Amino acid sequence: MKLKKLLDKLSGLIGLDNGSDQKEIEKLRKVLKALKEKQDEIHEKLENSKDDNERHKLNQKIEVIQRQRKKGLEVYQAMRDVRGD
Amino acid sequence: MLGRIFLPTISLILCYGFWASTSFKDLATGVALFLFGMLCMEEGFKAFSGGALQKLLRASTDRLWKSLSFGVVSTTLMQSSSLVSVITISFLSAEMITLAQGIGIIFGANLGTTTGAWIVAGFGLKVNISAYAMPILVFGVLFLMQSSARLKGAGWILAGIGFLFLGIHFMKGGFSSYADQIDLTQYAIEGIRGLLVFTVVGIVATVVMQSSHATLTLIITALAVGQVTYENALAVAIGANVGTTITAILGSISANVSGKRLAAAHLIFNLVTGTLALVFIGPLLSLVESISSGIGIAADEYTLKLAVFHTLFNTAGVLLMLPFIQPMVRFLEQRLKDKKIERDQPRYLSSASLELPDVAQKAAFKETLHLFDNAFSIIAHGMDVKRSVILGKDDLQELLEKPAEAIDIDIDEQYSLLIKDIYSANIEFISRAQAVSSAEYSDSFSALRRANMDIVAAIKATKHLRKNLQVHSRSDNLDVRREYNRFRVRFGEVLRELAALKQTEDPIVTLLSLDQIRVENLAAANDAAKTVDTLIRNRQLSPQLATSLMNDGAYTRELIGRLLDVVDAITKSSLPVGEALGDEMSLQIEDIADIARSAEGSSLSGKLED
Repeated sequence: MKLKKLLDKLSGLIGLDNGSDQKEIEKLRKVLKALKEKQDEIHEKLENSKDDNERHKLNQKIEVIQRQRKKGLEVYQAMRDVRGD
Repeated sequence: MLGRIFLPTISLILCYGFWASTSFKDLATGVALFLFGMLCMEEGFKAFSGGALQKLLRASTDRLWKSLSFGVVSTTLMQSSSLVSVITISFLSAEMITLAQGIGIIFGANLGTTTGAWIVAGFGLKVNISAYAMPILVFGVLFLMQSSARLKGAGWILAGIGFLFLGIHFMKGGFSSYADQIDLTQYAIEGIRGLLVFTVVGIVATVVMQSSHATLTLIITALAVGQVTYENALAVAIGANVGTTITAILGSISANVSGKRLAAAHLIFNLVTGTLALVFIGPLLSLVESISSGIGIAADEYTLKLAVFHTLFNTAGVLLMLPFIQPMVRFLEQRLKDKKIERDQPRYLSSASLELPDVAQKAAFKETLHLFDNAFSIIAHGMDVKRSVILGKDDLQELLEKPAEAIDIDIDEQYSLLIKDIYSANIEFISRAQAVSSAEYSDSFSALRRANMDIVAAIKATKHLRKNLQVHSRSDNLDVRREYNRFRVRFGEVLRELAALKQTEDPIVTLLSLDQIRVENLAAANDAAKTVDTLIRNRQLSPQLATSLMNDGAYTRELIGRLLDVVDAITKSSLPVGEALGDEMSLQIEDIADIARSAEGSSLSGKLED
């Protein structure tokens, strides 16, 4: 685990820096929302596409976003754990 | 405009000349061989630059007295001030010596050339070094065929000297019909008019015969049989001194601006010396008489007295001009300037912005974008893809089967014009900014430095790739052409996606979007490797072409990887200090490889739909 993350967690435990933590969570939510929108856009393209090659590429793109969102959710969960929500 | 009409016009004139006159043909051939000899010598001296010869040259010419002595000794040995001056021009063009050192050698050569008059007048001996031209040429070509760079360099020099003499031989042949018409007795004139006319005769004779030695021999012979008066012979000697500069001027045509400056210095020196000799001919003659009687030359020994005169006025000229070497260097550097090349310069960097780290960071960021923008065009054109095609909406797959349309670009030249100065300035600025800024800016500056280095690495990868791309993307073999065009298409698609990322507002989303391009790049590389395997198995590709294709595939992957790294680094440098969300959510290389390998690419579909 990175030093910054550890320090953030420690700050969370002793009740410091709640404001900046909140900002981090807000930022993360925003990024996750943007990724979800992007994924929906690609899904729409996938539904309209008949070209196998293009469908393959779009599926790969979706998978990339899904894995990134999964990692984002893990970060989100870790932050909430630190805050004790 | 002038440049465009120059070549066709000169070609037409030459064609007419070749058709109309054999002498003209010989003359033009001589000039061409002479210039080719100069180019050969320059090439040869380049092989020795930085080496022993340059050290020896520097050590032999680092003081004025040394460069003068160098000129005197070499001209005395070679008995040709013209050869010494053209070799000196080659040294200068190859940046082995400075202009001041070159001028010193030329002054020395003017002193050295006076020994010729003594040899001719005293011993009736004429050293004809041009007889060695052919053997020198043979040895030159023999050395050229060796693998050692030094021997090759020596070969170029010898071949150059051989061609110089061959050129002079042809020029003499071309002028021979005119030389026969020079009958000095026709012009025997007394007084100042006679001096001026015979000076011009001396200039013309030397230009025609391409040798001041030949003119001196001619005039000494004519003087001995009483064909010319003593005074007129002196004027011819003065004219020969001016006329001999024609060889250096001719030699400087193919040289760079430094060579031209030296030829101009040679002309100035010989003109000034000649003019002074004409103006002070009376006092000089008295001095010649005194010296001649002092060293035991009889009053009617005009040929030896001519040698005394020749030595005297050249020595006086050198002594007079010595204090003016540095002013002459400054004058020539001001007057004869290098061709002005428009090189793109940094726009946002200033020493003042180093005071504030935030301002310095923004300046370095903008300048890196400026560099990237310049590199974008070079790389796109290097891949024979137009910028408008990348930024347009047409399907890039259409490029796949058609022979690639060539885009004329010299990557090295474009690098010098559009990249080098900005890149150097960026690296220097970032290093200085990083040294004076607080630690929190360190990551941002490091990212920008990395971006700059990746931009340059991407251009180098393009240069490597272009060699084969130019040939094979226009190949008659459709399989080869398609595979090479696939590199262009892949590259074009990546650049198009990167350009589209500019619309993304959130830099973290931009960073995460790079993962998609990485997956596509790796998947495309994997597909290309499989295609090459199939083509080899089906014997549709020779093993040599297949390995070229594999190597060039690696260059394409490197090029695209570098471009992605540039965008990654530039984006990271714009993030707030300590921001790590992009890193935390980005995929690891294993994930990227895993998705690129997956046949369906949808293993996780459905798990995170909401």
